[in-house]
Amino acid sequence: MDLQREITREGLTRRDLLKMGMLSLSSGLLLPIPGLSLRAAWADGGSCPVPGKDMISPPTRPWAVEMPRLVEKQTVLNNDPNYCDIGNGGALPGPGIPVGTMTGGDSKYRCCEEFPELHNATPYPELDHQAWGKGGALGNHPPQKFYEMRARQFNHVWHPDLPAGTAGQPAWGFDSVVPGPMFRTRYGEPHFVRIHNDLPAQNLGFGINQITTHMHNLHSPSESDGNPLFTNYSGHYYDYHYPNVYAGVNQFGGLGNPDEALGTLWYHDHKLDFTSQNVYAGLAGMNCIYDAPGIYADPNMGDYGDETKGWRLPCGANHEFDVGLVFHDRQFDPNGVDFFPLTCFDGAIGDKMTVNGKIQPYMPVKARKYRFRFLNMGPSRTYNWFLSNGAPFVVIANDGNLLPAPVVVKNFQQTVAERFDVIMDFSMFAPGTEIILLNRAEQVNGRGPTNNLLSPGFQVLKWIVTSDAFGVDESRIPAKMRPLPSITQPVSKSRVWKFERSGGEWVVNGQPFNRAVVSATIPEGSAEHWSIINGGGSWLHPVHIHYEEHRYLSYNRTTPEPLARGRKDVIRLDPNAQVEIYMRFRDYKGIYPMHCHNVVHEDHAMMVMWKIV
Amino acid sequence: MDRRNFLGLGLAAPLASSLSLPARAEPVRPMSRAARAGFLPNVPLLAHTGETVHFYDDLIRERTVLFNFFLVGCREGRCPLATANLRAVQNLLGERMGRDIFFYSITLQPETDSRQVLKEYAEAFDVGPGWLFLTGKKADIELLRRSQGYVDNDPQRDRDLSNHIGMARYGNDRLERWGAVSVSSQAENIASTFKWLTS
Repeated sequence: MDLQREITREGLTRRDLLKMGMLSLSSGLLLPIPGLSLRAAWADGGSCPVPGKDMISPPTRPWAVEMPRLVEKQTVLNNDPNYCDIGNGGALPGPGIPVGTMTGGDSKYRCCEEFPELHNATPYPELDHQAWGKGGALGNHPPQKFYEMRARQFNHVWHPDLPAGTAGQPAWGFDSVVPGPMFRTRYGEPHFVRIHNDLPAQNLGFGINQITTHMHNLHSPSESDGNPLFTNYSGHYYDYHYPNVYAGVNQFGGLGNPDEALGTLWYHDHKLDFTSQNVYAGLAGMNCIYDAPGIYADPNMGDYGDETKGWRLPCGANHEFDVGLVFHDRQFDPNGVDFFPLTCFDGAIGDKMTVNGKIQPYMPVKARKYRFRFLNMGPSRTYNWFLSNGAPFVVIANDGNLLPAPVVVKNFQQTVAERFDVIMDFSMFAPGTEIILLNRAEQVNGRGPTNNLLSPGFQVLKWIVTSDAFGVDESRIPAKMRPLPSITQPVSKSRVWKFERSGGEWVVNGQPFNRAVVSATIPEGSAEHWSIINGGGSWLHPVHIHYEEHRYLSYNRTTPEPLARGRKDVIRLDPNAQVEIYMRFRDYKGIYPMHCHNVVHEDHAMMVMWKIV
Repeated sequence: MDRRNFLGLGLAAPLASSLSLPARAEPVRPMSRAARAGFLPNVPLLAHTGETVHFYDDLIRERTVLFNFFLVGCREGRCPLATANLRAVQNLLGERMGRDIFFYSITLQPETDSRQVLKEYAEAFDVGPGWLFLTGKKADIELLRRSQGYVDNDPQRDRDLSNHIGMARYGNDRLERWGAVSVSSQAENIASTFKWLTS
């Protein structure tokens, strides 16, 4: 960076520089400033540099890099749990040795020593697992698939044009990739993931080497939810077991109600006070879940990861045409060093858009249908997606949950943590055709987008249609998909949750998060009516409720837009919005959070904990 | 002279007494990235004990700390509660306070919160070693506040200083690990965050 020029522009004196620690007292020389900006401390309106204005990332050529596919996660060798690296002489998982009673490197014991209140907050004091070795419809889902994953520091190339070049610069990621690997899982096929924390004590200038991995938004018992209060320490591991049952096991028996199926999930770090820093460092990945074979009697229903069966959604062999797209904006300082604005309490946004870890990549596509799973990994930006050729999107799922029928839209907004599954058909285009995904939402700070639509918009991803062979496209755009479950069960309680800023903090119902407080105690099996209110200011809050999805009863007292009429787990709470939702709390018990998924707000400390009993 | 050793002993003694301490042999580590970027500006401040200190060099560098902004004149609600709460945290941290954990409370109202006022305030709360109350020039404190992000984009709300006292910053400069916690959170919660800052 041209430090001298910036100093001149800011009108800084020698004394100012000394004060800011930018001038060496002994040598009188200017010190280099990797990582953070001089301007950050001097911005007039606040402490946050406006990306692209106060802080400009080095130039990178668009479409210089091919978009990487997410790495397909494989089980441990031969799917044999004996291959799990347990270290420290810990016992193998298995029936009779419940997850929570394992010894050695298991982080759970440390978690409980530190937070003894959790002994009273979960139904099983030893954090034993509710879905494994317990018998009954809920408790008898031992794992069938075994996975291991390691959180590590490694060098990542966001773009080869950055000064770090092809050597890259340090990032944190699961299995040493950003984003982490894609899990393909299935209902009726419970899976086990041992997550080793191999992160170093010395970080990237931000982040903490203590993690807790949330599976957003699986119907998972609290002990495997990745609660912010449970910590997986560096040098330790934490075992997650996912029963992969549909909601409504107690009501319907078996695997529960397939109409409650999830589809596109993601996992990410959720460490208390540090979620934004750790997710920004790269600790996030995707997980999709397909229906159990034959779960619907009607052979024309179901999402099986097979385009010849059920709704015949695009997939192809080895999921070639079922593609995860992880959107994540980043900021680099003028030296090209990764930047996280530790002092921006409004949120963190960047002037570089990445897809699957690369800035403005291109993706060659074959002339057929694809299913794209859009994920906004945050930390704070809301997108408004358009296509450069003016074509509409065929949206089939919101927050990963298939809609009753596809919704065709010219554009759609996607706030942090929301997922949208979209079918795109390239068969009508000649080879060489280029289609660009545009974000037209203007956003200059972490508060949320302005009301301006950029024209033409920011170019994020380019699809290039090829003439490559693909066999036969057997997929369909179905007329009907997953029915919506009934929401006629009477509500037993109404609650109001107001999200706002107070005293320089982010609060829910006037209170910042307090570990010792359980804000709602809810009987298992009950239904409730929640009012989610934006308490004012011009902030957008993406509100995420763990565990079971909700349904909008109204959005600002009117019928929600067609895309929002399905089951959701993130509420785009626009400025001054009020959203009425229907919530159910079925099957497993334990503590779960609700929080703002602008993860900077979450960390400071817009979160409450509630409990199913 | 090694001011860090001096303060590391938690002694609220005149500056001259530190001159008798042996100088450390190894060179001082370079500033952390946060300090070099102005996130932790090295402004001069005056402690309630009478010492003049530099925020980064003397208070933050290579240390595990918690710091917050406050005002003596705000006598209702969260303001006195915050100090009382941090006092309880200090009790919980016991001997670690002043040895490897330090607290700094920086007034947002240096016009009225003189060294003497802070001294009386500290005595009223019976604060122990390892906790300094700090005042300074208005411009320096404004720089510190802004560089830390304690800013509201709405100018009117920004002028209400009680809007900047909710969060305490905690961290370890050596590990470059920085978080924030509500000063009204339970004392046990705040104390337990220090377990996250050691390795």
